[in-house]
Amino acid sequence: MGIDFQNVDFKYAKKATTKQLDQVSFSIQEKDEFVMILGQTGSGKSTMVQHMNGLLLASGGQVRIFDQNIIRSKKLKLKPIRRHVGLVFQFPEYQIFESTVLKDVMFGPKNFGKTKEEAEQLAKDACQLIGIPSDLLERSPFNLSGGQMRRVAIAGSLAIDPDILILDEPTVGLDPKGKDELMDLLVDIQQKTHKTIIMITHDMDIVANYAKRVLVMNHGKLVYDGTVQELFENESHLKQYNLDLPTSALLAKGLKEKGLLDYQRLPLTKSQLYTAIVRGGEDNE
Amino acid sequence: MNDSIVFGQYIYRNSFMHKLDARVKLISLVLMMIGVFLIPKDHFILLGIAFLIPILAILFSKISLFKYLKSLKQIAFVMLFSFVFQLIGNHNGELLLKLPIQFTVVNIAIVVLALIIYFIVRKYLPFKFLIFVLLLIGATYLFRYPIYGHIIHSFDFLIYQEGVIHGLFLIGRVFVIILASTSLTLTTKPTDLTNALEWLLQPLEWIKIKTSIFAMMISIALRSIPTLFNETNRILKAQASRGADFNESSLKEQIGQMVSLLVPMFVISIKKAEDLADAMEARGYIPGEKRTRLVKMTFKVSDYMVLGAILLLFVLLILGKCGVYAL
Repeated sequence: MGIDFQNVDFKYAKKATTKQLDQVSFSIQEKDEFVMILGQTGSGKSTMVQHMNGLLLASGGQVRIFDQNIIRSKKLKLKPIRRHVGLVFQFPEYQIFESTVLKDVMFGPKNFGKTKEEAEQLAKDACQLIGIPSDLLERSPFNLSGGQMRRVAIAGSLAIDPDILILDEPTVGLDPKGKDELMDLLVDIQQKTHKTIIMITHDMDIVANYAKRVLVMNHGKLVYDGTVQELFENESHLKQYNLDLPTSALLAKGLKEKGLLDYQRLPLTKSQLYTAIVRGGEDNE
Repeated sequence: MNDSIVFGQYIYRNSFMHKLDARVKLISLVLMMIGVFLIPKDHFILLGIAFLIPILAILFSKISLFKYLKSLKQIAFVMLFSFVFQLIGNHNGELLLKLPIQFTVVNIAIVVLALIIYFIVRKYLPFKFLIFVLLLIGATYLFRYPIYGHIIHSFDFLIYQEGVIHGLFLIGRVFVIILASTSLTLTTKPTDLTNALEWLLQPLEWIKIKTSIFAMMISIALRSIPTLFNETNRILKAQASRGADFNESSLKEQIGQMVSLLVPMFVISIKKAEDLADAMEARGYIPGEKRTRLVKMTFKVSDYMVLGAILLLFVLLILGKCGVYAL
């Protein structure tokens, strides 16, 4: 089992009355999963993912990562856990500090005890996976564009070669083209390496297009764990969790209300909407 | 992340001290600091009167005494050392105590060992300061009555009356000042404090020094501390995810990892400063130009009364110092 939460509670201070995490239970496999975490700001998404590599320790309940019980203990070393579970923060480009792209990506592997040559190889592989052209490797990362800097930062975590990669809103602040490119790359990485990828996002179109499994957080509680289709078809839930529909679904719903389109399953992506419209046309004929 | 962290020690209460004008509090503090140092040496009655002022401030602030004592704790080491130095250095007055001190290999070794153990396990100990004082007392006892071993060096540790009195007076002085400044920072918002400072420095405008710029700089600096703190936390966590753990690495690794924190922090600070400068310019901020205020500071009757009382005490002290009457 990769990540396993059992009734996890978290409070910032012992006496605090509000819980950032409230009885959260779920588990995620160490291979071949693509999980998206949704929820409004302050719902506990970031807090939850920080539990997944031991940056925060639960106040109650049990967190197990790769069968290691994560508890507050002097004996427990967290570094090996971070070797298995990589976490990329929001706006990761701020973590860049080295003089060249390659050196910065090598920072992670070197921290985990790899030799210079091994680290260089891992860094080069990671850069290739995330689509950084090799002529950029010796350039200063501070002269790159925002999208490229973000890739360098993600490569920094990828180079550690974690089994599970967690990304906190990796697409925020990127233009639509950059978003799609990055998402395609992540899917590609997931398929090639069979790593489990967990990401936090607010973008419902990305959820509709790429998610296999969705977790929804609301006021510190895990309120939904299931497929995308089910989530978006239950409108009362969406309202309750303050979630929007993907653009294509919104359009489809509008068309249906006007009587212009009919469908059994709510189309969530562009291609599903396209099929629904084409099929609808055929039925009329 | 840590939304609860607000810079400074300000604690909100609805009390007399909180309502008092920040300017009055600031002037009072400055006068008190000067006054306390003008008190003639070892004049405990005047020090007692000075001591009454922060005591009154504490009583009227509705904040628990514990918070005040906390600020004293930080400076306890300094106070202890100045006291010890007075004890050792001041050889006036009556001889109170004569301690023959004898250094032997054994007792030096024991004391050094005890100190090393103390500094290693210190992190996990409660009442650190108390234990440290006990350790010092224990060490003195050991040097006084050496158990075993060849005496390397011996001398008499002499304590004179004036050393003790002056040491106590010194501690009392620092005590009063720390309590007074703590009651200022506990009951005044940092922004009010900078506004008060700006008002107080107004005379400098006559010699063409733009005090408002400095006040703005101070308030921006104060405002940035929690933001930078949060950013530091985020970068620390991000680098920890890349294996740079400051708790679990050797010293050599840690130095290299410091760079991974410092460089991003520089980049972030400069970026934020640039953004702030643009935002200020967009809202028409011109350095040194006359600005209007959202909240006008006005003196109330109570402000005048407090200021009057403090001024009176100060003038009385000065007159006494100048020899108009005997203190």
